[in-house]
Amino acid sequence: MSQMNNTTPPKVFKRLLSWMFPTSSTEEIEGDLNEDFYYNTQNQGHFTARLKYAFDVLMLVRLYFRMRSKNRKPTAMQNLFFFHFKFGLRAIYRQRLHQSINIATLTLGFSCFALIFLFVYNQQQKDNFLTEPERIVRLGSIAEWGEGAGSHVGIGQMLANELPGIEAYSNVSTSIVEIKTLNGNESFTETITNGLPSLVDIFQLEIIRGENIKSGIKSILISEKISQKLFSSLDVIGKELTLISRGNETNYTIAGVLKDLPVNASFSVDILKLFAMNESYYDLNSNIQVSYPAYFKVATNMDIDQMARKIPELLQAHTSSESLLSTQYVFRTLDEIKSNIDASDNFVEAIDGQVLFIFSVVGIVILLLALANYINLSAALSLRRVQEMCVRKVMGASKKTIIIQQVIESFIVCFIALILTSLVIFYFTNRIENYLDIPLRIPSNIIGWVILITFLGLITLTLIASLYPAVLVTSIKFSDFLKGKITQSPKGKLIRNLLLVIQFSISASLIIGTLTFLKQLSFIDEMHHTAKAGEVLILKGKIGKNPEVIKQQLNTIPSINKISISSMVPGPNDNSRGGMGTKDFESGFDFYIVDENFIDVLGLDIIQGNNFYNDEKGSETDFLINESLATMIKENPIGKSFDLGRSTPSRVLGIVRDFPVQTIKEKIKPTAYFLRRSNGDSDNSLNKVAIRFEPTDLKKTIAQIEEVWRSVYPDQPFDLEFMDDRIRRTYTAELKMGKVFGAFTAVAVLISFLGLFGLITYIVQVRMKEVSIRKILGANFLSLAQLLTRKIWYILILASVISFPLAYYLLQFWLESFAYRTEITAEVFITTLILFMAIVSMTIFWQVKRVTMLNPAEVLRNE
Amino acid sequence: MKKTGVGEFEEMVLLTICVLDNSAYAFSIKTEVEARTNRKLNISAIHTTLYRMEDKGLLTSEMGESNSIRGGKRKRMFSVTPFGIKSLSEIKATRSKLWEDIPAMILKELKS
Repeated sequence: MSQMNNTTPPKVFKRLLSWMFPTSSTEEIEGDLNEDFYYNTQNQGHFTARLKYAFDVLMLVRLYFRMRSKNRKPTAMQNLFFFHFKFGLRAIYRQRLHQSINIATLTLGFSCFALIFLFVYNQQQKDNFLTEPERIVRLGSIAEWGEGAGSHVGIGQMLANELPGIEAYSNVSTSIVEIKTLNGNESFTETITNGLPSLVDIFQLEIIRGENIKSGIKSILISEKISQKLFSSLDVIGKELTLISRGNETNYTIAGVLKDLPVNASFSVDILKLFAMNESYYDLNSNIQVSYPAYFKVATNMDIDQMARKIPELLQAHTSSESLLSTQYVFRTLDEIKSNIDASDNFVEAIDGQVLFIFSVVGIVILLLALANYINLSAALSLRRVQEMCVRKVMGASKKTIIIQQVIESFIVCFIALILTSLVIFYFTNRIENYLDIPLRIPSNIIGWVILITFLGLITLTLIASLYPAVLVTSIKFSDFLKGKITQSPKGKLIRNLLLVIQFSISASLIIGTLTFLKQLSFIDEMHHTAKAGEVLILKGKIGKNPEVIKQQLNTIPSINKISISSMVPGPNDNSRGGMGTKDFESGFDFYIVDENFIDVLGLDIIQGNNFYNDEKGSETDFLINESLATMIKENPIGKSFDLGRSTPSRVLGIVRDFPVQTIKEKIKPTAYFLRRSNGDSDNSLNKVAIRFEPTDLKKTIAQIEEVWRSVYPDQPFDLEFMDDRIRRTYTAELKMGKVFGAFTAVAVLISFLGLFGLITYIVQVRMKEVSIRKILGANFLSLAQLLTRKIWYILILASVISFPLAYYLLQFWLESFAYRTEITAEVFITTLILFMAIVSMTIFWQVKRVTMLNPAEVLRNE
Repeated sequence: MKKTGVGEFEEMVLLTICVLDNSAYAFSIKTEVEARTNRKLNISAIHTTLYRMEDKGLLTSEMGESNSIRGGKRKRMFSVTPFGIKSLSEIKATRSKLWEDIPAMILKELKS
């Protein structure tokens, strides 16, 4: 036994050797080593022999690679990946029409999905750089007309002093000003934020140079971005800037530089100026109420609801003002502020949660559409290659090889689409960002994840899209095919048609959605008469006892046509109070104190009855009501008198067409328009001047108006707004969303039709031989078209049956969020159907035309 | 002179294969070279040299017989290709040309 052991080489190395050179063409190495070992044992003893054997085996490792590559003969056939790749490219080129449709749809689908993902992600990641964002709250006031973002400036100050749990407080307002450097010629238009020094603390702004602003000094903070823009450096402390606001130039010293906020901030502070108000505005008992958003930083773990409940109690000690005491106060967290688009201030940007949801759904739907399309078309394409597959199989390709080839082909297609997508995204993100004013960035901390998920997605997609057709193809009995029993496999027809039905249903729903959306938008536009509103300016301020003074002065300006002074004007809320109930109108209504020009200046319509003083000098107790209020009165209200809590009953003079007051999602409030009392009793509430002007020299007109305003009310800020801007503010979000939604729908529909086009082309090509024979036998264009497309019509009808009710219910649900909504009428569905049929017919016509133009002999000779 | 790319050790192995004529395989080449040069060689060094020269086209090979010492594994018998012979003779010609051109005085010293 020991003898035997002595004469055998080390087992481990022996095994290693036979593992390295397993084939018979390299067996001589093992033999040579054995022989060498045998003689070495005899000459030098078994220990040295074993050592040498081991050494030799290790030295032979370098031969291992050489032998491996040498044994793979012929090399080209062995490297199957390379071959699959080459064949894949060749096959894609051969089907370039269909494959480019595939690539186009995938690119469209991926791009839309990626853009929507970026949009939604950016919205959801807003402000994630803030630590403890729940400690930032805003004081909101809930009056009868709804919730407002602002509150009396005095309340904030009072709460900061007296409510326990508040660490910092600042009012915030934003304004747009021109700025220029002290001796520079160029001026820039920038948004400036007015706030108290504590704003820096509340919103966790970082002063990287200099110090915070102080009250009493005309100092400002600027962001790095502004600093670079104006001075091209950050060494700007102590330099001066000129701010030009409504013609007034004021110099400010730069106290410090703020670190730029991350792109995903929902607020922006480029220039921070001290929020300064006349001391009297902070007086809670004053009859001037100036409201601005008030932000607080609360202590950790405070119950803000409980804190808010203490406010009325505290207020009672300071004021007797009915309007302040009757308002309900709440603290809103940053998240609530951002999601409540109805009560938004200009500082923290709010976003409609419903918009995000709809966009996410559309994004996923588009991606699914593109995928369904791709799977469908590639399955159809690979079925056409059954013959090729059969020949391959006969030549010795295994099932595995055929599947691998499919996978590689689909990988190439998906990969090209992915590269195109990244190009599209790089090209479009900036443009969309600028157009919609929303950030679409990939924060650097998730770039790794995005890349990983993209690649996982690519692999999954490749597998799904290729395995289905591969399984279809490989399950065909090749012998049957070669015997000529099957020319085209019937397999997978059901799934293909099903996918087509789903695609069409989704597209139809999206088209219906877009049409309804457009209808709703034009409905809203119609409601607002925005065309007329462009010639109306709104001045805001405390008009006070003597409205005639400003009225007369303004009337001297030649370009002004008509002036109306009132307590409120339609548009987004501006903290105007209203709402009262009487025994005749229990649910309460807004009341406007207006003058006789109000209806004309604002371009409202009287749909029934008369305007004030139209033909006869009416009484001051006459009033107008709007449609909403009129519907509360059962019989015809014209000429009827109602007890409105005034000294004498009031008579209804006419009915005014409804006009939205706040956002378009809110119901129009019942409104009564009362005439200003000539004795001046109601003058306290007058704080709007509506001016209808000749739009010839706008700048001059505004300058003249400002001059008048400053001479009449030197202590009040000049606050001017265009009526159409004011109205549009109520539905900007919807307008933008409408456009983007329309674009995405167009993409989805395009994807569906590209898919349809591909499939029709496929069907026609497959049946080319049949069509040619039919043509020879005398079939005409119509009968051929009918033959080729009958199934498509069935699919279309089925898709309509599925999608129409579905779309109807979803849209009903969506429209319910609008107070005034258009009807979903049959014409929307009919338009969709016609649109669909038109496109389908065009595709079919083009294809069938092509077939019928061909010389049938050409086709038949090919076989 | 055209570069043959044949190293000193390779030349030795090639010549040995010529000497061994029909019985040249790795182990016999190893013992032959060892005997003639008084050098200890590793069989793996012979293997790598042989396969490298085969790749270069200097050698050709075929499988031969086997025996029990070899554990039943066959030998790979090597023979020099015409290209190998040509390379060898080129080397030899270069050498002899050099020898011829050595001045007589130095040649005398070398021979002594």
